[in-house]
Amino acid sequence: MQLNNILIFAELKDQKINPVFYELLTKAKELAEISCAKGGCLKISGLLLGSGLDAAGNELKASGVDEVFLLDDERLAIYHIDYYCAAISHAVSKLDPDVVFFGATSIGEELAPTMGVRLKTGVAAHCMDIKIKEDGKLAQLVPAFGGKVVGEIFTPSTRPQIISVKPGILSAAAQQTNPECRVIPIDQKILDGVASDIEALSVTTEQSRGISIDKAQFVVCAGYGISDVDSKEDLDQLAKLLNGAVGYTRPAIDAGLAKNEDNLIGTSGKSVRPKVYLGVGVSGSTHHICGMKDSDLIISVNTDPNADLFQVSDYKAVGDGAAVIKELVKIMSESE
Amino acid sequence: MNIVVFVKPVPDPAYYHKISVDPVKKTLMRDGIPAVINPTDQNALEYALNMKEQYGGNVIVISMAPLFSQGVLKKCLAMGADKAYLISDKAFGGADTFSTSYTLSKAMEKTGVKADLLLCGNESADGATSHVPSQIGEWLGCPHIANVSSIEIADGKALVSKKMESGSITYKVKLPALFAVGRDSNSPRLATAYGIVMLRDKKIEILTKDDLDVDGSMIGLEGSPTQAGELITLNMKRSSKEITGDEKEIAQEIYSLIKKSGICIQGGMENAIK
Repeated sequence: MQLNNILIFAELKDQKINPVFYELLTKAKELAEISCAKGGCLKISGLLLGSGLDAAGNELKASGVDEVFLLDDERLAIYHIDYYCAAISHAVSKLDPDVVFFGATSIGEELAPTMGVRLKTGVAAHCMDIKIKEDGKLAQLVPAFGGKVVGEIFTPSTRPQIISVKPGILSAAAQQTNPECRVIPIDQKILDGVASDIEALSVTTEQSRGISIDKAQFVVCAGYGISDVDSKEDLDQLAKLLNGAVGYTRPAIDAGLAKNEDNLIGTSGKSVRPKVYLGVGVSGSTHHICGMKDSDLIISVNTDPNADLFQVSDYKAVGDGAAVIKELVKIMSESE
Repeated sequence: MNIVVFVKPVPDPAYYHKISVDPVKKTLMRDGIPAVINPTDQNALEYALNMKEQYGGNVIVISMAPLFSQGVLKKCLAMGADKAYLISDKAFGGADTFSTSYTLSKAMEKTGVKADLLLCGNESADGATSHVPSQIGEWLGCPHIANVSSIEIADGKALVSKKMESGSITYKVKLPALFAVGRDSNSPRLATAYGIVMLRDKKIEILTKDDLDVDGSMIGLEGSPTQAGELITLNMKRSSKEITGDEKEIAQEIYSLIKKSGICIQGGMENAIK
């Protein structure tokens, strides 16, 4: 089985290409290299949708892709599932790709499964890696069951194979511009036939408070073992003292430690790679570990000596995480 | 107003650390882990019950699961749902999100419910793909939006807010429509004693493959375009050096590790500038 074409959906973020695109592109390039070594030739195309795309179009053209599909239309100014899907369907019909990549963003998580049904094909969600097996099949590695394992997913017979990857899971490397990259504009008329019961009204942008968790140098993450709400103050204080951010595991959020999921660390939340990750009361499900395993230094504290997070930690301590956080705040406040 | 809520019984997330892989058979061992209503589905049900209180009508719950999951549906009824359908057949087993959503959409048609609103939780705690809501909407041909954090109904339309990475988008959507809601969108109620008493008047209807008008090639494992390969345990092991002592000593040691890591500690930056 030969891979010939990969199409990457290049989502816009503040009229620039969303960084997750470069992570997907780097993986696509890696697959292309493997494919070429076996005598094939893999073309990588980017798809850009939006309104006022001159700058973003140039950015995508220079990104290292071999081809850019672009649809610049006012109807695409605000993300709208039906217009976006019509444009993606069009690009897929022109290119006939073997694989379509989406970043698993709020938009991508909606587009990927929707396109799966429209194109009658399989979708692998939140992949951690994508590999070409010896028999040429594409293995999509997904975290399974919120637990211990990673499962291989194959899409044996339908095409394209749709794959989504969370931002921050793959790493981005600088790519060389393909001087022969062509820009293929998509005719705006393809949107005229879209009948939709959805009307996009407005976009609200929220100012982020504090240091965003995916950019913080220090992350303290509270797990189910810290479900005592009194610890919240200590966590916030510690993060403040270290110019960092507080993250949470899914069970900690379920236990009411955080109001929302904005700082959920894991494959269904954010991926972090800080200089120091300190996990307190975190048992370490695969969903969580996948979201923090690339941190430079991993320290974990847990009362359970068999906590899975210990295995992936540089340093471990068996003890009460809440008490350790309290002591840390005390030490740091005194040492000032 | 008729509101359909799709729910999924999942292994209780509080027990996920107990799930393990059988080293020989390479299958998941999840014995003894109780099933609960998927957490975000409870938010979807809460929305539905709220809407019912506001506008009247019925709340109908649909779930595709093994027969032993009836307890989860009973809980939905005790929370205030009016009727439940359990879609259950061995033929549906092993379905991926594509064939699961197809089967659920066919079940939806079979119930004959004229829904004004269809609600789902945004993601399941076990698979966590977030696929099924958008895909049910797509099969039913009704407008659908995922990651919704608020819904207001006016004049046969819904005003919804879709959560984005740094803000939100507001849409006006003609009903019937399907929305997937997140966990921080409301606080699900508990089942009341009254709700439990009322269970005797409520019904769980079980639908099997023969009851649904499904294409046999689209259901279960065989109807799934994605197929599972091996379960792999990733090697992410690090040295895990042990820090010993009481909590105070542990904190001391962690503090020196943090200092050594070279990250900027508060006060450090300001002092440097001065």
